[in-house]
Amino acid sequence: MTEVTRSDDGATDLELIARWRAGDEHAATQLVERHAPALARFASSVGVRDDIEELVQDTFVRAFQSLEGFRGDSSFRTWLFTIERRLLLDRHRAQRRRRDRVEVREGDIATEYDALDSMMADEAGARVRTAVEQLSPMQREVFTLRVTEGLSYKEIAGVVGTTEGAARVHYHNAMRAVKEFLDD
Amino acid sequence: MIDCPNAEMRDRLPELAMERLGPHERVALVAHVAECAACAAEFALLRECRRVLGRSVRVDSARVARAVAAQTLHGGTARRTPGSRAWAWSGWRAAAAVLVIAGGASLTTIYAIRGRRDAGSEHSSTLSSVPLENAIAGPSTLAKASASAAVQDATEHPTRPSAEAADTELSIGGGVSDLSEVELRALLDEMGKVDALPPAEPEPVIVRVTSAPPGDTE
Repeated sequence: MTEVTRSDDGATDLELIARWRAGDEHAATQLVERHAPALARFASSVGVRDDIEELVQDTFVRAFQSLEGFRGDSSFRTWLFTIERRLLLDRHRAQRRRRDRVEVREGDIATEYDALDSMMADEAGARVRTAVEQLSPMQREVFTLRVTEGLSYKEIAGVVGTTEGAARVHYHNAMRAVKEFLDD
Repeated sequence: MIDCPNAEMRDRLPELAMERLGPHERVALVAHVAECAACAAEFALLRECRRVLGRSVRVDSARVARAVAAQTLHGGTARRTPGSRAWAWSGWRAAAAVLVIAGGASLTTIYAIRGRRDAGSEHSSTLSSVPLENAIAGPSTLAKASASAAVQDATEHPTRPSAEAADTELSIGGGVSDLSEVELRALLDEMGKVDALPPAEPEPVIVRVTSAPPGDTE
């Protein structure tokens, strides 16, 4: 499902991209303001805790630097999710390399965010969040893109680099796992 | 929790939760959810998941937009600002290129020096072409022969840089070939004045036996 979003002046993503290419800086600002919250939400949903704003910023910079590669087959937001996911994977690999070098202490595992989140979130919401956090990384990505962003299986497949059928299976497996966790 | 056997309806529940269905499809799905306990439960779960996972994460979109604008150029061309990853990467590539060029130049220089040394040894192996009397006369004579050849070469090609001149710049070992023409001449002159310098090869002893003229006997 390719969502056609429009700005205040009625411009679609593709129109804003064309305007930005023509030198309209305000068009880029509109695109950022339109899609930044969704990118931040996705990052948070898949477990990113630190530097979400930096990640979102990097995603847009990378996107604007490689706009030639955007053919418009998918929506601009889906394309942004794809870029953000690649950046997330790069960041994850870098963190893993650092973790391999630095001994992890027990206190490092529980972050301040986790503590605050647990305190402030209501019980039901915390359980749902915990249930989603139990999913495998792939299941969590697919589930988040489907449930919170409303992407189609085809779009999800494009973002996570799998087939449409596999994306559907990942989603239903994730849903089943969440249900089972909440039923316990 | 039992799943609904109607996969088509169940697959559309996220779209219903996001209010993204057309009017006809929406009516059909709402009717199905009203009758199907499994889909009703899943629909409620989806709305709760959206509420929890879809919570807005604080991002200053305006600040992000400014930063993005600062790092990109009009027309979709990248502006490589110092500090960005692309800039850093191109910097590494430039550094690598300089290293490769410097390494290549060093190797060329080393090979050039070795080549000249080899040429020098070849030069000494061409002693056979030096007249025999000069060869027997010792190293000073050889140096003189080389020097005279260099002088002849310089005289014939006054504008061509001589190999000795090139060696002055590149050589690190030091040797006769490092000397300029003037220095070489001075050295040869000095060597010629040193009488105490023993020859490397014994001088041929030539005994001349001459018969005394008649009436010169004492």
